[in-house]
Amino acid sequence: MTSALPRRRALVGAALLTLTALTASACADDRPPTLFDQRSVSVGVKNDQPGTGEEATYKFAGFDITVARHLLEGVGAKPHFNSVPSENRGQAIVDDQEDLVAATFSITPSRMKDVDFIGPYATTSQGVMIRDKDAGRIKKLEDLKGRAVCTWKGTTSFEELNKKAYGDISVYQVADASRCIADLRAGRATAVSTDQMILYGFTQKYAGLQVVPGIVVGSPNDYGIAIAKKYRADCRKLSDKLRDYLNGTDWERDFDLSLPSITKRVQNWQTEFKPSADSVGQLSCRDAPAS
Amino acid sequence: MRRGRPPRPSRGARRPGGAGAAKPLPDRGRDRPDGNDAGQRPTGTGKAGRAGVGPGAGKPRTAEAAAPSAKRPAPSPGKERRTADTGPDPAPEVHAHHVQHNNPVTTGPHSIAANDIKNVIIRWVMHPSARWLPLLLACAALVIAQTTDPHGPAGQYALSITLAVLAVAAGAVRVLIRKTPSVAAVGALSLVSVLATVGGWLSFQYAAAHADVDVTGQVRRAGTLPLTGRDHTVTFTLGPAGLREHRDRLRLTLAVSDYDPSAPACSYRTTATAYLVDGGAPAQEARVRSGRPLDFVLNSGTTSVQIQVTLTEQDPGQNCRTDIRATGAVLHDA
Repeated sequence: MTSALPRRRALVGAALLTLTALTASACADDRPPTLFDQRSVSVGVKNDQPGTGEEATYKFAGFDITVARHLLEGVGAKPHFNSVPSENRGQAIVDDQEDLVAATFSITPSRMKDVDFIGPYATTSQGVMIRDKDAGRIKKLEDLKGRAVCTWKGTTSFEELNKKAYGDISVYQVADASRCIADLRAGRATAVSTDQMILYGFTQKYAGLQVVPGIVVGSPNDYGIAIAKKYRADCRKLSDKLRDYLNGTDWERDFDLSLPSITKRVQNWQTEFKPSADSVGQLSCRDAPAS
Repeated sequence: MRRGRPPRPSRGARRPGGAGAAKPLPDRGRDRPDGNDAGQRPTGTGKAGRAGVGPGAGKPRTAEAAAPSAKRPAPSPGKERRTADTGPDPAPEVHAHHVQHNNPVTTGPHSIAANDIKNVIIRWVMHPSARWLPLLLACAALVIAQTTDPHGPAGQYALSITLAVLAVAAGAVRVLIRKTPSVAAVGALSLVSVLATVGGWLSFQYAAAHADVDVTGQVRRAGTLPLTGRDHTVTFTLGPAGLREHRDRLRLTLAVSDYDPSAPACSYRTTATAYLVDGGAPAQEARVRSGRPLDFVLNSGTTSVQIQVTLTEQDPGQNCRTDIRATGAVLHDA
């Protein structure tokens, strides 16, 4: 008789504990997954693009890195940067190799099907970069007729120049940006074509190169930070921070610090390169652009 | 010998579907001045009337005698009317009205009564071959309705479908009844089935005349694609073939997207405006939002509808290359 009471108490306690555990697990399953519970958030960036994403002595610097750090610290997360090649930017997110990718990643409808974007955080058009000594004869797109123009894999630049409208231009692709720069400086290519933000960044590092201001190819490029679709709640938090960033004055300050070659040479650089805060809602955390 | 009002006909004689046999009347034939057995005249296929007495009572009944056209037997010449002087008052003329199933009997000036009509209806309703009529009618209406290839969503035909189901169900129950039910039950089932068939048919006709007509596949697009800052107009046309069934409005849904999905997103930087071309002039201008329908009011008797869509870039010179397609076109009434 005396031993039955403690036994009953033990049973009741076990039942309560089990019930609590089940309730807790059920509640926990309802929460969406989040990146911000981690110790740090891994961010894939470029390591060979001065001004936008470059690695020097194990430190990454550039406008992409600045923007990513600003947004993540705004939500209380700590970034950890790793290099990612251009052709692997989207796959790195899909394969969970990186939590975010901030690597001059253009937002396109086909990419939006695979990943979410937080953006645009910058806008630029595709242009061409030549040697200073060719500035006199290369002023418009037609001047590149029959000339070799270098692009690198994983960018939209090659597809754009490969269209029928530019059929007279001899465009080719190499593995990465450094190969194109080498070809240009060596005279194997007449021009290098990619986004003007990236090209202006190269001119900050390599003397004797310039961006042709009158040549624009295709439609504007919007840069976004890629994130997996399963983190849509995190995506919305980061895009809210981006809106605040664009509505403030920090964007201009950071842009000028990273890409002074643009702010000094392009007269209306805020209009050309700074996106509107409204465009964030049209491209961020969606499966397709708004219309 | 009893005089006075004749007794009422038996209940068995009145009940439809019953044996219909009239109970024999009291034997008063000898007392009647005309020798008539109260004017009772058996007709139809019912059993013969009273086997009672009277001048002709002893005579065998024949078919002629049973026929409605048979003459009344003449009073026996041998009979004499009793007079008031000699005895009780003469029996008054009696007009009996017996009702037998399928065997109505009338005499006298009130030849047609409401019961006759009712009896005819009952006879029809209770006829063995009438069991199948309501169900056949409902099924025929269903088949004919389907052969007309009705347009529009099924929801518009909800009432007619409901009534059709009711009609078929009531008709089927009517057929499946094995035991002889009451007239009221059978009549109710038949009535419900027929009314539901008629109601369903009428509602179907109305819905078909006013149903939505999907003409998405008949919309033709004209204009240079992709739309750019230079070639920025496209026209959607619905010709006479698509307007065979006239409706008051056209609901058009357009999809606006980047012409090349692998190129940078740009269509969100553009604004598309649609308007109806009415006699060459733009009318009913509306902002196009991808995936959202636009409603245009059509002129009565129009044989062709043209809707022009113009694309404008928010900032000129952006070189956006945009595609616009019609993903839905439905003619409907307001």
